[in-house]
Amino acid sequence: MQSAPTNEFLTRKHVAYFQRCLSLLPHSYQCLDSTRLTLGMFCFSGLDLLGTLTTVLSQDERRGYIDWIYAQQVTAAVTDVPGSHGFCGGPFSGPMTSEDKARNHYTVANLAATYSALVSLVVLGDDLARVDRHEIVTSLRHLQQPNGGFTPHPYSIECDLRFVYCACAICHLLDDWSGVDKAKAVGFIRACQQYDGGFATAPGNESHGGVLVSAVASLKLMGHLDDDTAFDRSAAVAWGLRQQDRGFHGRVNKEDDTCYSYWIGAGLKVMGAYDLVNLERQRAFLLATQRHIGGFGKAPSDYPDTLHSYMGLTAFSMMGEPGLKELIPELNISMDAYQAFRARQSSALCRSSPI
Amino acid sequence: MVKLEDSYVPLSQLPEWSDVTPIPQDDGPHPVAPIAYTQEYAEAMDYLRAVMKARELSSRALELTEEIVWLNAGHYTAWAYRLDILKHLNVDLYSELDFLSEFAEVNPKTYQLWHHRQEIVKLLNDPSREHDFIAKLLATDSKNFHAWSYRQWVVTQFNQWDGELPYVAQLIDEDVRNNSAWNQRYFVLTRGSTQDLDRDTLRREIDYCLEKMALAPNNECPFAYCRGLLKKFGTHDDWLLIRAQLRALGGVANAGDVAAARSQYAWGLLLDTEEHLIREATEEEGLTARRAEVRRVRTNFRV
Ligand SMILES: [Zn+2]
Repeated sequence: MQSAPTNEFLTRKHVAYFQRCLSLLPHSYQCLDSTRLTLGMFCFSGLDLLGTLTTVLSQDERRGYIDWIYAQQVTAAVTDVPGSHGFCGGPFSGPMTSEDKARNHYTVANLAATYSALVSLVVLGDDLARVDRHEIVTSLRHLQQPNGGFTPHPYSIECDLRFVYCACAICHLLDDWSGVDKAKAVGFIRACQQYDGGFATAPGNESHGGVLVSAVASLKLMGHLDDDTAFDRSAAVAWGLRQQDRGFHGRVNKEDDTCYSYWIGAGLKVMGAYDLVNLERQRAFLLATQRHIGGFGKAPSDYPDTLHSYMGLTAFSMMGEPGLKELIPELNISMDAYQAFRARQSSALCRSSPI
Repeated sequence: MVKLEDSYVPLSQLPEWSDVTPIPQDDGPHPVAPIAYTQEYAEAMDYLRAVMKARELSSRALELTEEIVWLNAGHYTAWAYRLDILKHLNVDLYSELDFLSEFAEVNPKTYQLWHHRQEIVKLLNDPSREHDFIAKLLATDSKNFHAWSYRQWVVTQFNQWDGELPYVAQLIDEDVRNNSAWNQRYFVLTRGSTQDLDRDTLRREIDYCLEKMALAPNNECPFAYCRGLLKKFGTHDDWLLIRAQLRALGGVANAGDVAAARSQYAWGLLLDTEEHLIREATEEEGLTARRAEVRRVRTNFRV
């Protein structure tokens, strides 16, 4: 896809791009049908970072989206399968009738979808009052494996760092850590740090930029970021910095890719090392992957897609682009949306507790 | 094989599906990020919902899951459902391996594919086809992350450590910049971080690194690998050895001699070596000056 790189960050085009994605995606996204909640999170958070969420979406629309998200919640009324509570990635499993739970055997939540749902709800201005906290927390307990890692749902053997992060972010947003054995989770993260200082998705695998932020954000959320026994911080910082060419690449000797400006950039930010990133080079790379129709591609000649568009945007936010909201890197939520969420919660608490 | 492309016949027109009432997707009035589904996918999903809700473990359902995963490889519950059907019908699981081999050629980066294959191989308790299967995919993409991670599972699960080092060495010979192969080298030698290296092996690995560093000084792999080995298993003498060798290799007399350095990686490792030796040293002469020098270089060059 050809479009001459510009020196400008195209705010208005990006707003239009996320609006389009939110209203209809082309059939090439069919392979992501099970992860629509995550695609939605990219759109909501994208519009939020751009400061336009409440101007381009009416209050009714935002309420409508909130209701759609809650419609994907897998509650105890739907199924008794242990570990299956939380949010499903979309309505693809069919109606969640509660008359006959046996019919919902394959209706299971997924940790990535639950994380995406909670983030989207926070960003959309919900207070999580309709979230079945207890069931989600109980599910987490079921999904944590003996090695400390997490699988995304009860029928999966895919145990890796991405889901440790989802679990930690969920616990943080729900203010309830009773579903996570922190010591074991920290042990799993430690085992994922490879000989070169980077983190692998699972112990033994090659270091992968995609999980740098998962590892260090989880540690931060669990209060172990300053724990020298949890990981080798300077090795992790050095590994992250070595993956910058112009932008960042996800593995040693691979090509730069827009999304790693988030995965690795946010990881460095969590570790307090973002000032060591060469921002000029990164900016030039991202301006080259920015598309004139809005959004970002993976590489300079690629079409934009929802994930890379959102990740490109977060990088500009972390670089301090004027007009973009500040991002909390360990949660992947804007500071503004997060503080508003906490304020809504405490005022709800005041209303409900007699003084 | 059911891969509907040109010859699409709606399921609603097939007699074998006439007894099933399809279940449409309910997206409500405010769908989030709706997708313009193809007609095939939308219809196949309507029927899939119907059989999954009924927990029908039949061969027509098995075929339908195949169709679905071709259209949406990431449909995770369709894969879980497929596994349940396979177990229930007691079908020949080797034919499932054939299907997965074919599927992997088109969708080599689908997480579910690899975990599904792992489940099947566990059921068969037979890894005999796995090395060829993986090697074929690595021949197309020698850095396929999923293939390597699956390979580690096979090697560990079935205790197939023998032969792994020569294979990895061959891949590094083919492409010295293949970091996946370097990672596998570490994995094999430490048996997945469960085993220490003996002195001879460590020295042999350091020599191996030095040879590969000289071959391509701007390749990060051997430097990172060497640093990792030294940090975990190196003695004072090993660090002294690498310092001398790096100075020779990089053409630099000391860590501050940036202008002369031919390789940022050699220089970075040399700095780490200096730091390590400073930490270990007790009363060596000029220690304060050396420490200050390393700090100055790090501050100026952000490494
Ligand atoms: Zn990417």
